[in-house]
Amino acid sequence: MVVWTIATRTFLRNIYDLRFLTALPLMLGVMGVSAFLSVSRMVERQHTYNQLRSIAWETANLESVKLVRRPASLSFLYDGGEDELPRYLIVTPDFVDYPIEEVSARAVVEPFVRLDWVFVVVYFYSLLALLLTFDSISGQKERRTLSMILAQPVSRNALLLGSYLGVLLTLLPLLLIGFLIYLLPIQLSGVWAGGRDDWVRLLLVLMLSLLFVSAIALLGILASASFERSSTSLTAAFLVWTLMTVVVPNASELAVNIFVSAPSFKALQTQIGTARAEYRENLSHFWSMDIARIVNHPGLTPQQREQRLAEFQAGILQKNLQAITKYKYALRRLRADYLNRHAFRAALVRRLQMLSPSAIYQHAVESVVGTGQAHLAAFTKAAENYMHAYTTYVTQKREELKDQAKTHGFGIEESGYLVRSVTWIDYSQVEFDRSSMPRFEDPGVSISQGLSFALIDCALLAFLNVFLFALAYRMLVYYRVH
Amino acid sequence: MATIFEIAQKRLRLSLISARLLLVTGVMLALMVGGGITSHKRHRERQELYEAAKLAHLFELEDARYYQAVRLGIERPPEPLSLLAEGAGERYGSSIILHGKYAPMRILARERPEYKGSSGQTFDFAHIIALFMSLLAFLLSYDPICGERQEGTLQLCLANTLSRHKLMIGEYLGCLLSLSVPLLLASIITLVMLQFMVGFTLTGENALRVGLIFLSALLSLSALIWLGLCCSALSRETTTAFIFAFGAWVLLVAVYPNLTLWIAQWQRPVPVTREALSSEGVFGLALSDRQELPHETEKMLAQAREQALNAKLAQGQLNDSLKLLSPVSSFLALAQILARTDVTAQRDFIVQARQLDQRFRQWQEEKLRQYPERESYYKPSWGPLDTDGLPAPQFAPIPLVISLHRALPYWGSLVVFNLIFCSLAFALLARYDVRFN
Repeated sequence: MVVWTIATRTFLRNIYDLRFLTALPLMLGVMGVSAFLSVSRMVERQHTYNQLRSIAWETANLESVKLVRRPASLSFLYDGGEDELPRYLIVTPDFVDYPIEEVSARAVVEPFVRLDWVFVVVYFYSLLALLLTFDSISGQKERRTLSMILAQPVSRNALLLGSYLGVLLTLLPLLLIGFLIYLLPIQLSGVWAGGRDDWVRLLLVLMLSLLFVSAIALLGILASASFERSSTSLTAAFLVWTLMTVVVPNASELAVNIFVSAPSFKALQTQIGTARAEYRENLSHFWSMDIARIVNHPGLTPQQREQRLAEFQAGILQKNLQAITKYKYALRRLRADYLNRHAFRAALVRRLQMLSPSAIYQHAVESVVGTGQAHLAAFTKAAENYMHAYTTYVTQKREELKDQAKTHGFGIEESGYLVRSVTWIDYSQVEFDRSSMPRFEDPGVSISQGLSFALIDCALLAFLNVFLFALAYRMLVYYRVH
Repeated sequence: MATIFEIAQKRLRLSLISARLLLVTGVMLALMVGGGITSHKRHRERQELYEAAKLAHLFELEDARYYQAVRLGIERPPEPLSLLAEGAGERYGSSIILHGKYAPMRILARERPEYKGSSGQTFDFAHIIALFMSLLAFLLSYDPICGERQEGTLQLCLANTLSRHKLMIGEYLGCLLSLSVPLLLASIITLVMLQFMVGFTLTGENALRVGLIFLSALLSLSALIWLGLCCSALSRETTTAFIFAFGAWVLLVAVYPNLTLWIAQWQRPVPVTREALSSEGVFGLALSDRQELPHETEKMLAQAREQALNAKLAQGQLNDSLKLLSPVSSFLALAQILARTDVTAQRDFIVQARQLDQRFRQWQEEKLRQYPERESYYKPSWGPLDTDGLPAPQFAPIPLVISLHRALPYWGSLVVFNLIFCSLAFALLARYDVRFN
């Protein structure tokens, strides 16, 4: 009961506090702007997606098909660089590739901070939590009320629990109001269907946000229980907060940039050039073959000559097909290697960022909501699955429509005989019935998938809460109240 | 005057030893060093790609045996000052292939966008300075008035012959001076880092550009200090002032750049065209440069691409002009203009390429009049192609005068912001209740 009294007292004090009253309109305003911007971004994305998808379906052919990534339905909660990641993948038989961009119609300018729910929580709610808690113990000591409270039958444990609960009571309605402000324009705009899955995700994000904000509040309480003056505890708490939200995420990215060198695009080009030169060499082998020796061989009858030429021709075609296939697979290996090394670096950055609770919270929301890297991973996986279906379909169709393919090649004429060689067979202009082609729909990240990704992050956040609470309790037990 | 300087000195001493200044400066300088190394690596790779591209064009020209195969490639060299402001980067393309009368020009990005896992932030110095120094400006200036009131010293100060406006000017000068210390350190780091950038020489012009960027930073920071003093003179408690100042910082750093972007995208939308999907080669990278002559559909694609590019340029320019309305964004725009990496500089490059295309067409006509048989046919006995008088594809960098001319409105805007916030701060202080309760 004492705990509850202290909690209500802290709650009421917070509510009437000037810092809360000034922060409230600011926060709600930023929330509103951010919701509004997110909606407009989502509308834009949905529009682009629809357009790209119809174009992709129209231009699908027997050489390649483009799979377009569906924007996540909850991307307003965490953007996760949705616009930076590839919007579509190119699937050719046996091969999934990222697009190569010329200067395309992608968004041009970008701000250096993207406003979304996670940003507002990480930078605003957490700071507010810090501002509300930094003087919960040391401030009472400065006002000389602490010794009076503890002279009553109030244990230090109850005091700590009470102020923690009071802060949570203040922050929870704010989070809920913020959520409503966020959902309102999105619901009104009609871009968001709001299925059952989405509501579950929203609930999960709300819980994660509460977990994160409570960790920060505990950090503030810890700071206030560690120092005797409230200004010192504010400085210490703010220092740790800056380290966490600004320094660690950026520094880990920088560290990876500096110490793990990015795969060089130029090296990739050189490697591709080498593979290509090899392929060319295989082709040039063809030129050195002496047709004249077959054609002008003295002892051959015309039939024998025809037969030898036919064999020769078949051999050439066979050899070239082998060379093309080898070249294609070399390219595939090189590109996959290049992209894997990029992915490795990105994963490394994330591992390093695990030092900061804000980054953990971001990653957890990303997985639960299904945007950013989590979405890209799921999308790539789905595309690989689709690639197998597409390959079987295309191989069969190509066999059927062999005659319509356009053959690029060259020939050598010698004494009236023509020997042809094929550089590549182009099926891209071949007309075929699209309705039988397997269709692709981006499945997104399912809830169970997202949760399994986010499990470690959730556990870490929960552990952090417990740890900070225990530490704050320990500090409070040894606190000098006089 | 003496009192003003005394107050300024006091503020300077207080600020210089304060934890917030040391912390923010330390973080900023560390980020600058790290970001500088990253930029340096990226710049070196860009330089390599640039040289490789130039060499490839030369080889291509030597290999050409008939006039249809002669293509001009104009390359924009990577800008060493992009260390300071990354700007539009490669988003508008830095490599243009001219086909003259045979096909429309093609604009390519030499570098492919890398799909990175995290925030995708660019660590150019202008952004680091804008982010951290503006935070520092607010952190130093949110408590001079209300903090002193809370401690009870404000009443004592003003009980003497000190006038309120002198107090304000003194505090402002103190804040500005203490801000110029980290800024000076940042400029030294910049100069050292620039020395390591490939292709950078410390000429008078470059030094002037760097100096002007840092002066603009100081001008923008002074506007922010006035704003912070406004926050301070608006509130009774330091915590309230802190929230106001922090709110202003977030508005300027996070909200406003998002808004301008949104307005630019809303007012100047870029059409998503077929080219976004169909310009890809079937094998992807390696065969995308196979030499096929562009036919009708490719001409249509080129038209669509050009439309998209023009829309993109218009969008970027609108975004840039909207930056006039915020002191932080103005500084970022100034840094880009002075480092020659802004959208307008990209447009200049494209305009130069178009002019070159005109001259190239004339050259083609002239040569075809001389050798009509060599348009698209080749016999080994004819020998190498006559390429006399071929216009040289050389990119002319933007002269300083034009950069200054473009920077003028942004400086004007910064001065206006200074005046507005300054008068607001004086007005607020004149009505301030200095009593200590």
